Amino acid sequence: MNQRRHLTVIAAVTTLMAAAPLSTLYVEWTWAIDCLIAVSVVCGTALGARALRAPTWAQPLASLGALLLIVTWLNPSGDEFIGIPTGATFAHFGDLIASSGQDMRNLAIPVYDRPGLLFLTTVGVGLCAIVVDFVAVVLRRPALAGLPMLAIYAVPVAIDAGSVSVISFIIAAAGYMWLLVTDNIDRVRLFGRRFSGEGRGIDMWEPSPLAAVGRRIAVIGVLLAIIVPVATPGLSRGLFGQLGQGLGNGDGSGNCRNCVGGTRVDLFANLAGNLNDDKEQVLAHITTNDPNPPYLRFGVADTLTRKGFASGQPAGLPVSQGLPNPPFSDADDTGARPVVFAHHDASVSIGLLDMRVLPIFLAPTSGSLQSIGDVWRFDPGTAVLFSTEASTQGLSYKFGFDHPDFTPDLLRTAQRLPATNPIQAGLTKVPTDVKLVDTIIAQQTRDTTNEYDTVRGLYDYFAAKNGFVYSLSTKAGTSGSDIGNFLTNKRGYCVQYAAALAWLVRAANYPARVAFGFTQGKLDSPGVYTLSNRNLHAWTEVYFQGFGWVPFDATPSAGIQGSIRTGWAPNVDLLTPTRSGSDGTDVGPSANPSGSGASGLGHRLDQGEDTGAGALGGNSTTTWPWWVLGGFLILLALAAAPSVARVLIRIRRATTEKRISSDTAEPGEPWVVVDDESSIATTRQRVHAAWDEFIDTLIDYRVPIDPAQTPRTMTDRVARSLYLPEEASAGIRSLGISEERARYAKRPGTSESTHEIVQTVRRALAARVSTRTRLRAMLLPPSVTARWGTNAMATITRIVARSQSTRDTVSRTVSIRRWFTASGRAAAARTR
Amino acid sequence: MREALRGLTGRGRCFLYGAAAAAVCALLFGEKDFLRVGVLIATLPLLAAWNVGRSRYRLACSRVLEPNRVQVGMTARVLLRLENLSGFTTGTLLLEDRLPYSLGSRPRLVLERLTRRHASSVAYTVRADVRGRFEVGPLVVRLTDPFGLCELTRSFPSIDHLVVIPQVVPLPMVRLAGEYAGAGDSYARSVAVHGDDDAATREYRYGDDLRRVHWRSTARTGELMVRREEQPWESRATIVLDTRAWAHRGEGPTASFEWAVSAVASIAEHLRHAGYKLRLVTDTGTDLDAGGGDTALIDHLAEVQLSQHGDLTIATDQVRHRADGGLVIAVLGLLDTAEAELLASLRRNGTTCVAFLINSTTWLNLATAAREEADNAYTAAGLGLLRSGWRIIDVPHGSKLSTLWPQVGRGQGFTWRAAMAETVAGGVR
Repeated sequence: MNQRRHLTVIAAVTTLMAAAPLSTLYVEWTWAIDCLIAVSVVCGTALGARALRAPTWAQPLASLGALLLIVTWLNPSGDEFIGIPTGATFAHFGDLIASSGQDMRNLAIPVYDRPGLLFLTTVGVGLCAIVVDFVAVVLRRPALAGLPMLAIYAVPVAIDAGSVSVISFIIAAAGYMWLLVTDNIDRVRLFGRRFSGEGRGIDMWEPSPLAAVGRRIAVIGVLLAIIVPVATPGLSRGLFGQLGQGLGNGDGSGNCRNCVGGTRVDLFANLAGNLNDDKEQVLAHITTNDPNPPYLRFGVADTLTRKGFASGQPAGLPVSQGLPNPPFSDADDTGARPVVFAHHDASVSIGLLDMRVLPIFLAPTSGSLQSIGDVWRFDPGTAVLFSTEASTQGLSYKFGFDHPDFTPDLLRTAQRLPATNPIQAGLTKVPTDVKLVDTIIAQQTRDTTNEYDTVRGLYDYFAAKNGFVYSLSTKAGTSGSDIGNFLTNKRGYCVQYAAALAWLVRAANYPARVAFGFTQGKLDSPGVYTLSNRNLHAWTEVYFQGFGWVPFDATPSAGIQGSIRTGWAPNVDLLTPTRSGSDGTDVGPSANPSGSGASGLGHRLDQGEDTGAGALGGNSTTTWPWWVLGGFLILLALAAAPSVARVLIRIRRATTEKRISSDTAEPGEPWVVVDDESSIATTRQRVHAAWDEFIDTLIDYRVPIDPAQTPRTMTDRVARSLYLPEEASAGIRSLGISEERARYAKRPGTSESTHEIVQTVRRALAARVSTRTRLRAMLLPPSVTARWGTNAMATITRIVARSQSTRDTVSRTVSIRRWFTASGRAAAARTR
Repeated sequence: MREALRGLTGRGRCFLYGAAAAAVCALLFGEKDFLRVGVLIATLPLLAAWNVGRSRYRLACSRVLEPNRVQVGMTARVLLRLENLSGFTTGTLLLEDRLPYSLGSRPRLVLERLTRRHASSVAYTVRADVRGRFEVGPLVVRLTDPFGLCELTRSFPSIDHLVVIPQVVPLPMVRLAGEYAGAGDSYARSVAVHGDDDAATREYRYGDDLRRVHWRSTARTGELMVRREEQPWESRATIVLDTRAWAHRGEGPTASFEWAVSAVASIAEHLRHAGYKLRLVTDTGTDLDAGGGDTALIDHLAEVQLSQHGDLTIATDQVRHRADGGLVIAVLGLLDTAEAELLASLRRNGTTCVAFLINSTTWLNLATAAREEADNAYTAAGLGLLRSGWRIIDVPHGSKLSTLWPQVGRGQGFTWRAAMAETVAGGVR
């Protein structure tokens, strides 16, 4: 019974561990708490049912009932009869499921907590817990418990186009294997009486060595499971999707960050990854009748946290429901003056671009979007076309758009948004104070009265005359400290220009965000532009009431192919003598779009974002040989350590001998008997050193040593058994006699050159043994390794003993049982 | 490794198939996440098989039974000694000693680990409720992995035998009529040749009673001599066991036959201690001589079974064939008159014939009429033997041999006189 209780608890814990991959789907961890509650209740009910000896069929039913109650408690409709679900509850559940379906269609992962999705997750994990419990504990078939766990795992795999995180996979796999091992060890325990090799009986609670073996196998298995798929090339899309090779997937790293669609991805990283590709790849073609088309955009980062700008969660209706008209084209009631805008049409055909977002202009007109299906949705807030399932590959579509021409005068009429406006409330926050920001705002907006002048002042700040240089060698990032560094060092690239401007505008209490997309591209034939990965770009958008979002591109146009400037955001560097040409290595010639090598360098990002796409960056390609070299050297040092240690020991002994013998030796005398009281001790020391060296040499050359033998018999045996040459065996014998005298004689005597004797013996031994032994003695001397091993074992034993005694002390001091018995004894004494 | 792969359990095989399925899924859908699962569950059985198969342990196993001859209802201790001759530490070994089910359930032991070149001993006890000669072993060793994916079974061929002998009850010492009836190696004759006195003498040894000093011999030889009171003559006894299936009733350990076997064993043991040379004769032609320390007789009794075609003629022929004289003790089941007459012919001068006549019908519950009939038949057979001078001991169900035994030594009791009286009366009539 006790074993089954144990197994029940482990089944519950492993179910929770198997739910770990779901963390991919959620931003927050509420789901985990809900699941923890549900699984605990299921487990507790199963324990209770088993304690009451309920029949087998009743146990899962009881768990099911408990799950229903706890789900009702977590998602109450308000009409329950003291927590007991009623019809209204089930109707509420129906609503939740319906809303979760809607959420699944509308929202992209990771999602914030939605009641419907949480409900579905809790119920799913709870049901899995019941199935796992039944299969593992009642049926005793824990291997089958893998199926419900796999079902949980399949959910994020199916939803998330990328890889489920390795850590959550490890947690889930560890849980499953834990369950297997526990069950099998139980089986082994129940097989019969356990006893150890010493014939001692083993108690139930004592751990089985099987568990240790299991842990080892599990670690190897999980490591292989992680490494093998990474090392397997060409599995990024599967047979179904392998008709066209995608963008950025050729690196074979299995890291799908670049190919993931932008609905949830960090667009900064995506941008960096694409720009860092050495090859120029055609991502899309656009045909338009606009003579000077604006930037084509596909993503927005409007959420600003401590880590920097990030994309929010897009939400919107399918495109067939129609697109809203841009705000400036509406005859609105704010009395804003009409904006001059031209209506144009555009058709885009996607080349290698593989994302979950479609490039579109900022202001598409209502109902003009053609040729794409309802899997695509339009987020009116960010003007992003996104999908949760489809990919952009091979799509062609048409749409109409308005190309507004805001004039500075017109924009100056824009009123400040009321503080209650969600845009004003949500997009003007900065998470931390950044040095220089307040200074710059104060300096640049000293006498501005309206939004445009403020923004323009900040925009102008990024001119080359203020020392800003388009640079590759900047550490990337859009967090507060990164922005601060950029403002201090004034070196950066488009992402940092865009993020810094957005930060400043926000700090000045106007809504701003970072947009991603393409610059104008290369004009192939009239009206047809080719967009390559060199055209990927990021810029700032600022909200003006009555006008909507207005783009400001603060990046120096010299750094970017196809960069365009507008009337409201002119090229600030042209107003002053440009300095961009002076830094030739950093800034490529923008005038030559076809020179892909040079211009590619010019717009290459050396670092991705904080998500660590930098591994693909240019810097790392030059540093890896150093890493390899360093690692190799460290390995070499580690490998050489034993032999070096051996040589050091030998030198130390030899110098001991020399030092002492130089004191005592009298030249010309082959055998010295030491009389002098003071030198007796040193002579002994010296002979012992030589003897130790001799013994170590024997160990190194694997000559068996009998510690019970006296020096004399040992030297005799060695000399005889190895058939050493005359000189060496005579030397050995004299060494043995010296050691004997040093040990036992009142006055130790020694032949003069013990060190030379030892050297001769070593050479003679080396000539006798096999090459393998000789190599081993040189590279991995057994005397050193054995000594190290002994020392290590002794240290470990000491540590273990100490921790054991500490644990004993602690448990003796704070033993609950002791308190109980003490109080119990006291109570008994009192009653007596 | 190949052997270990063959040792994959159902779970292990399923893991491999599942891994293949996951790999196909991964290939079709391009999900590396499924490939991960596939690799994991493919790796586990392979690693487990490697781990189990790597351990090509050289194990030696020896088994000692203490004692290897045990009475019914007693326990014997089986000591297993396992020695790891290889250079590896073993993994967990599941040991199972094969036992016949009549010795109880098979002992199962888990040997957690056995370090290299070490030996370990473990003991278990078996309890035997049935007579017989049982095989203990072979020992089956199962190697398992932590996940239950692979299991290898190996067995040690060595088999030991446990002999379960019938229950032997101690019997009271009784002076038997046939004592010293047989002629042994004739010490008596050598005494006669010496021309000594009636008493043989020997040298005094330390501990001899002074009252036994034979002064006359002492005076003659000049050394202390004592009278020899040890008798050189041997006592001989022939035990006849009736194994005819027809003669016995009841089944299993409580059957009348078991009583008979147990009685024979007890008598044999008792007589052996008393210095008798024993001979066991059964109706299947068995004729065993058993000396002082010889266990052949008791071993035979451990295995003796009821015979369907036994015939008392064979037994009487055997007994008569080598007429040693002395004591004949027969443990008999039901007899008909003819068989009683046959046995009666064994009684000659100089032999004492004692029959434990088991009334085996009392082992059954019979209706009154059948009971009467059975009793009549039993009495008739008993009378037949009595008349020829056999000493009859009536054995009803539930009687104890130790209480019946004194009757063997008693003279012709009342029963005999009553029977004779009846015979005389019959003669008169």
